[in-house]
Amino acid sequence: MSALRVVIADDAEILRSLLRRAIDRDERLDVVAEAANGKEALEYVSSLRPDVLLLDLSMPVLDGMEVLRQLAGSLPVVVLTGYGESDLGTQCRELGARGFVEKGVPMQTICDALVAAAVPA
Amino acid sequence: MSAEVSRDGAAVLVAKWEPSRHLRGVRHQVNNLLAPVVVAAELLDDGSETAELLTRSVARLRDVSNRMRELLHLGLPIPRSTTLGDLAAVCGLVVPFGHHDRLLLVDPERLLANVVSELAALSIEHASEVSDPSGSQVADPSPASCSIVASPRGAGEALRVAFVLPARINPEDPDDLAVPFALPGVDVRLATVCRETVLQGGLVGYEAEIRTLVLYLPLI
Repeated sequence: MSALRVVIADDAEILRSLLRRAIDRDERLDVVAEAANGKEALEYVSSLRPDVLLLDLSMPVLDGMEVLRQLAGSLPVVVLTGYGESDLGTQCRELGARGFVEKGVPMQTICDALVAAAVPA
Repeated sequence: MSAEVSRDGAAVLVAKWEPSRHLRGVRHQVNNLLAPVVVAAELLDDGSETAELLTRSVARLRDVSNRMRELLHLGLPIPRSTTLGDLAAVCGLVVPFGHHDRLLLVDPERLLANVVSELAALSIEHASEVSDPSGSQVADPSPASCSIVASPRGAGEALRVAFVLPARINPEDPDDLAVPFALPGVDVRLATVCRETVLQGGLVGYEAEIRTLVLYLPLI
């Protein structure tokens, strides 16, 4: 099986860069682009057709919730956010997110969530 | 959230308490700080001293984040009548931060007036046992007193207090201003501007506006 193509969307440049390096170490995954806001994320999704999107919620220009609304479940999305409340997770899932991960968890958790979202059991 | 350094050199994070919405925001920021450190620690997992320090930093930040989550799940009901007598409840909002620091969340609208007035009353009892610069106990001939001029009525408004200061206190020195309200184990600072005023009974004192009450709680 070829690696799943991932787009990362997070306005924090340092975190984006670190996530890319860490995700690329997982042979199941391959980061194809980094977006600094929701608008860029949608553009990359449209042009690169990734298998899964790792999406932050608090971003300038277009926030993660709006990205979820516009994607409307057309692409597997894992939300990665500093807000860990369960009601927010429910809200994201209702908008089509397949995964909801709180920032600060181990990388293995994030990678497993990406794979699970892109390749549902 | 702001960071300050207490006189013993310990870092203290300070946040005004605005029921749970603010704690969510603070926790969000903590998680944003935590996330890149977690990833960096995993990328640098080479057994080096740097990797070890990063891993320890992760553990500290994760502990703070987890404690905040627990507090959020508790709902944190703060009765409007909260007074210093409920300090134990207030201390329930104190989040351990490493081995020496404390994060105390204070609701300026609900807690400030009651807490400051009670601290002022207590400070009168303790004013005769204030340490001089050499560290010995000296009697203070003019203990501090305090009264509330105006309590906050809305978000962003300051608590206005009027007080008489011991003669040796310089009202323009923030470190001196911490002294009238010093209690064993609690250091209250008036991060504020003081101005001279005539108090009830014709006494000349000072009036201050308090926007943030910072309690430095030592590790017990």
